[in-house]
Amino acid sequence: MNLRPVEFQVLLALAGDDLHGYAILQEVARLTDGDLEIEPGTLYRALHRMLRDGWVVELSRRPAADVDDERRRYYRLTALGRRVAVAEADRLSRLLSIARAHKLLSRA
Amino acid sequence: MPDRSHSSQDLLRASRRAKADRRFAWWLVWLYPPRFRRDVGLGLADALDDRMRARRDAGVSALAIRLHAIVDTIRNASAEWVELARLKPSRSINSTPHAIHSTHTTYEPHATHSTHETLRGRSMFDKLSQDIRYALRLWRRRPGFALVAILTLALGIGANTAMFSIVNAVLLRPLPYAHSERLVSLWARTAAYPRGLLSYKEYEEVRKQSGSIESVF
Repeated sequence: MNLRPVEFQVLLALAGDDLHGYAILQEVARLTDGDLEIEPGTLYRALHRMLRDGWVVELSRRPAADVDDERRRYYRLTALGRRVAVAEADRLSRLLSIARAHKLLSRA
Repeated sequence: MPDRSHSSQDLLRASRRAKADRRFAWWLVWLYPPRFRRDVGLGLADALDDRMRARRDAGVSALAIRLHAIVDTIRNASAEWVELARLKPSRSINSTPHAIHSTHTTYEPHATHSTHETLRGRSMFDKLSQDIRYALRLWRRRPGFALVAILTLALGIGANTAMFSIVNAVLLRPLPYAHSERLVSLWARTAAYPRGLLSYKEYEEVRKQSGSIESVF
């Protein structure tokens, strides 16, 4: 199974909190210091695949009333989604340690 | 008092713009495949709407905002349609929670379903969508052919449009004068030139003396 970069970004954004679509876009921008601006269509194609594969679920229960916006759909990471994120982080970290061993990475 | 009426007018304009954005977002969502729309269409419309509002608040022009949304939609909706054409058509979030990624499947139009569904039993839309999927698949397999076909169509349509623009401007649209249907052109006939041009002097004379011509330009 190959994970697309945008899917990993969405998994990372949802690892913190349950979010609605536009909040995911904002969270991705925040986590990447604004370097990565995902367009809504790209996000929802990824979300659609991830919903289908059971990595995220659409919440039927609403969050607390004071932060809720009634028309929104919130998404939550499933256990499987979390496992996928962990596996990908693991894979990347192994790649990074190789890069570090070859002095390709300045920061520790 | 005038201040308040001004701000309420602004509010009205803003709400009208918000409604237009919302309609526009929905219109874009309609370009996605039906199943995609059913599964995440509402969320996508919200996100498109939010993104447009955020861009507007950041001072981006209305045209740029919409162009951005259109480009996003064209890219992703077409990719979604192509994916739909590539994979087997039986995937839904409800029926297959842990969906199987089917790889390339061989496909013959109007043949695969005939085992459990008769041709007569399927609606026209089914057949049409099957044809579209088949076309997309062929397009993927032979992109060169598709490119030639698209270029041919583009050139044909372009040439037609250009010709019509010229014909429309030159022949069809009346000249910008009152009673343009009564316009005539004047020529000077001499032995050498049956249709010669008038000199300025002659023009002045015609203008002064003509009785049957209302005015001369």
